[in-house]
Amino acid sequence: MAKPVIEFDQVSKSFEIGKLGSETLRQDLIKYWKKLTQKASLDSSNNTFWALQDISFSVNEGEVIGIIGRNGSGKSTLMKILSRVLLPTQGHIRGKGKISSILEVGTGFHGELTGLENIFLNAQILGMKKHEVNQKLDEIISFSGIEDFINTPVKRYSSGMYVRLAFSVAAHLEADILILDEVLAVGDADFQKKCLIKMRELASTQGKTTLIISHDMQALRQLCNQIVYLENGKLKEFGAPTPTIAKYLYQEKIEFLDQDYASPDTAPGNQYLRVKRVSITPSERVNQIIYRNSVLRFELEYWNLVPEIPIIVRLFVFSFSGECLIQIDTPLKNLGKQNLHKVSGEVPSNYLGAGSYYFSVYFLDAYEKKVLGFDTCLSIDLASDLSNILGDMPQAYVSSILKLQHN
Amino acid sequence: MKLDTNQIDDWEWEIKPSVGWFDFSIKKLFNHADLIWSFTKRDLQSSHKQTILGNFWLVFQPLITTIVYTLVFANIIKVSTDGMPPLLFYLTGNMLWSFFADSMFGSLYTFRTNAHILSKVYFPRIILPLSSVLVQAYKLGINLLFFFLAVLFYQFFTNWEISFNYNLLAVPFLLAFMALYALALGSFSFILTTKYKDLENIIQLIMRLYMFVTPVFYPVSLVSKDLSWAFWFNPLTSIFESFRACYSSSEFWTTELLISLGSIALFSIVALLIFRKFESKFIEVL
Repeated sequence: MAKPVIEFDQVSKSFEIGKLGSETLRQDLIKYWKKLTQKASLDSSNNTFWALQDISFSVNEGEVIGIIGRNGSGKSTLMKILSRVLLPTQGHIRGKGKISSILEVGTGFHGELTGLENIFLNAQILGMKKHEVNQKLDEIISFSGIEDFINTPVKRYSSGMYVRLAFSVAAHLEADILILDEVLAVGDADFQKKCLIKMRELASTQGKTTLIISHDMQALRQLCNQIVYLENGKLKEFGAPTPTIAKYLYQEKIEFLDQDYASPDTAPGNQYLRVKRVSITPSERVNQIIYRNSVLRFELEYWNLVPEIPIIVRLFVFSFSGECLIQIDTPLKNLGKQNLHKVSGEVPSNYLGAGSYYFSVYFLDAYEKKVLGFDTCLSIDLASDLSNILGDMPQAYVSSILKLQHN
Repeated sequence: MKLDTNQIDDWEWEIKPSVGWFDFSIKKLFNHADLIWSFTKRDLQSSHKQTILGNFWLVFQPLITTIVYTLVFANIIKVSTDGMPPLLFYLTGNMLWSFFADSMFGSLYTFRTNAHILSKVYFPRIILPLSSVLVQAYKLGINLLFFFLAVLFYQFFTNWEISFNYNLLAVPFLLAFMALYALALGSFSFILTTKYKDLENIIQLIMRLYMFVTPVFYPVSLVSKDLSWAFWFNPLTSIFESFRACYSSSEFWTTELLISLGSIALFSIVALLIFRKFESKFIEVL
């Protein structure tokens, strides 16, 4: 039976806005005096900002919880309360087990100290004992991959080396409950992958309860058992990853499937071309989720304001981390008189891997010079149709047209 | 999410909107001994990196100040030193006062210098001022070494009536209580000054004046009889005076000392409890 290890019970947190820390004694005394003399409680609701309101949910042992929401939705505040950096204004959190929180990579690193000295300092700040660090020291150093510089002051490190060292300390923390804030987004691609694998290992094989804040939906979908979706400080949704993430993307318009403009005057473009409509239509949607086995139909309509220009339309597909994955051109077409033109095509079923993608459309002339660029005009999030997405193997963005066979 | 009563009893910790007055554990603090030591080491190491003289600066600074005091107070103004060699007299006063004031300000400002850590990680907050006091204790240790050599020099190579006596046994207690006093005063000042920065100026002023009402560069015997009772209100007076009794024939103020140590203990406990209760609230607005 699943054992609950953390229980959030109507946790709320408010901040006074505007005068945080800048208040002087005189102002406070005046306020206090007024309060005494008028015998009326001053209405303070105007300048109180509720960063979190009535958050209740519980976490079972060994679960990996993803926390999503727009910037300012209260994700970090919630994690800071759980790690005791902030006190809740109302409500309780109860739990068992030792918590280690990594709200930032390399907390307490000191530039003058060497890498080795910083490993000890950082690990101890994060709650490890000296003998525990000693036990794991070799592992930490070799994971970071900067053995040669371990006795150099970290102020001489490149930012990459700094982050590597910091993450390796974090990855070797001894705790029952681990809190991670955006730490996935550090280092170069190679090291990121290494971190991701390490985190999966921590979460899946060692049964550590983990709470992760991230904007990387793909990683969350692979790692998590449950997703907490916060909106303006309130718990909007708490549930299984795929539907919750789909709901989030849909609600927050991160998913952007359609742009439509009524007339050339308001449409985006320049003196040559205006875009009327650009859209992606999935062949099917189940509860707002678009699975990767649905066919994606791409459609584009645009006006030419100048007659008789030759145009190639080029479609780019980007991964959410920004790599350009695909480019497709239409053949060169000589646009006739001023008119509406249409381009369409289909991304076949199961062609793109699960993940988030965005699209850009460029218009080129006969010499492939850019006439108009329409960047990031569409985006989509595809879910995997497989129920087993433990993420224990790599996954491609695009499936190949090459054939591979058993002989 | 319904939980039966057995499970509720199972919870090991609870995070509540406010901290109780006696919600602390000395045992937990001992569990963090490694961290206290690490912060201390960090501050000591980082202040000495890329200096050639390193630890020598710790002796050099008070030494120069002591020489200046000796020149000004003993040779120009000619303040009495109660029959003690002026250099030794000012060395003692200067060493003890630096330890007290630096520990106090260290405890006060450590929260600001470490604000970036405080906003990301939790550990018992008292660890920071504790390690600032330890940093000062290390400096004091080096100065004490120098001080012992100076006393031995006066004992064996000069005609002054200087030698260590049994009062030396009290010295560790005197220093420990001074450290406690500085720690409590600094941590408490943090609570006072974080929200109201105006108070910071007042506290700096008070500390500067405090030095003048403490027998740092004059003996209590110089204070007029009508006023001297007021001087004993200051717990540092008997500590400074009694410290000097460990190598000279001046009086060891047993009664006054016990009262002083008692009031330091009482003040410190109250101040630290207040600090513990409100630390989180003030670190939030740091």
